[in-house]
Amino acid sequence: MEFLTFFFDAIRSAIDLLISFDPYLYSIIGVSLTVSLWALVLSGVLSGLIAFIVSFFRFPGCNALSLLVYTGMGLPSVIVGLFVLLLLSKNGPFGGFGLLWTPTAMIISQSVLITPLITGVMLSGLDSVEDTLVDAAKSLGANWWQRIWTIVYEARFGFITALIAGFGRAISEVGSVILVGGNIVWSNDISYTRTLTTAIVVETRKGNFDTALALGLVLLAIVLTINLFVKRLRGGGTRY
Amino acid sequence: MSIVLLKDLDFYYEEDSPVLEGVNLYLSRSDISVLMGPSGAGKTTLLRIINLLEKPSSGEVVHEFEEVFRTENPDHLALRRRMGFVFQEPALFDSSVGGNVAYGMMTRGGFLNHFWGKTKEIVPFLRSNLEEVEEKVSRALDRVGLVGLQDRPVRSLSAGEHRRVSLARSLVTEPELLLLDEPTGNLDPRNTAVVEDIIREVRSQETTIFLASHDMHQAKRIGESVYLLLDGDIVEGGTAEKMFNAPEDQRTEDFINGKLVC
Repeated sequence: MEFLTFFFDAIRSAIDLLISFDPYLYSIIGVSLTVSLWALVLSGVLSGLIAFIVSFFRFPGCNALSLLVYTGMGLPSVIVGLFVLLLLSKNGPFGGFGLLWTPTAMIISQSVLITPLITGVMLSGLDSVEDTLVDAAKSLGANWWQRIWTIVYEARFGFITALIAGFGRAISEVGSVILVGGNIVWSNDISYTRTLTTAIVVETRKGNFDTALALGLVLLAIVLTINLFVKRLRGGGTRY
Repeated sequence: MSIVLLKDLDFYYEEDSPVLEGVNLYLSRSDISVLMGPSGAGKTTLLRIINLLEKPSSGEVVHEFEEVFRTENPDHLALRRRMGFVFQEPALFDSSVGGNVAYGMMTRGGFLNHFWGKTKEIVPFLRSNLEEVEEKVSRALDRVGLVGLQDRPVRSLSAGEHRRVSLARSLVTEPELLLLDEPTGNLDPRNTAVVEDIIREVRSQETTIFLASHDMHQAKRIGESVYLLLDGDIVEGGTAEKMFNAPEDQRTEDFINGKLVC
């Protein structure tokens, strides 16, 4: 019972925070969405390109590349964070750009993290297109580009799933963004590199479990809203 | 175009287990030829070679007096566009009935036409072409008895209707040679009769038809020329009358009489 009361209190504080347009909360949501969406755009383009090359071209190292992609799907985020941190730190090869502790660093680390995941799901979507369909396209007079287009069209739901999975991983990720972003909040309580997940870590450490849970619910609501939107885009909840 | 000649054709995935061995076949114009044979005899492979989907291991494939595999022929695409192929499995795209039927025309109309539904609103100069496409789709659906189903998703159709969509998709481009791989396999007698009527109607439009079937009754019903393929080789061929009434090869007689053939 105590837990239920605590849970409903958390829902109430989440709603309060949202309807009071709490600047702290909204700046955190803003940073979370901006960073994750940028990472999604960059990774989406890169993953599409890698999936296209691996699926439709044979070249030396092709199998190694796809093995690398599938291995990368399980990359621990702190390792990615550490890797990007070393690259962007003052003594690292890209230290001169001064990107560490900025949202750009977070976008880079999230992109590195989600690119293998998106590519892997895209590849399995392309692989699932049956050979008979490719033969049908060929026999109906499709040239190479038209066949590629047909395969991509048949795999379209796999692509959407890949992007949702990538976004879900990016926005719920905490290890690397805390390492390269630094979880910074300006003195006026506006987030610079603090995201919903890193804020949850901070609030939990401070013992503010209700705020942490409220932030968690906001995070879930965002993911749910995006999924509902995508589902609608796919056609009113059915494949058609 | 509809004259197809196969000469000493061999096909194998592994050298010691040939799928086709020494096949010789001549398909004449505007004829319904039926390739009979049990499952696994190599009928599908033969059809795929004629449609240029597979390259034979050796031998010649001649389409209208031109050997098409001897050198890397750049016109394979053009040649394939003069044929239609209805696969054993309907192999329909995850789209509407109209989208499937229009596919062959769209491939011929260029890449942009692939965005059929979208482009017709935003690219006015394509409109006339698209109206023609829509009209042909509707006529092809009419031929196979699926009037007005353009907008239905193919997944909502029955197996018999899938088969008919697949037929309409091949017919809409008015092929000179139509290849049909077990076009009535797994269909009930009523749908089988419908598909056979369509085949006869297509034949009357001067289209050459080459049909693979394991059903000899079907070969008898619609075949003008009949060939028997056993273990990768054509053991006998000729007019349907000769094949069914006076076969020369004992194996043909056994096959017709429903005996085990080896």
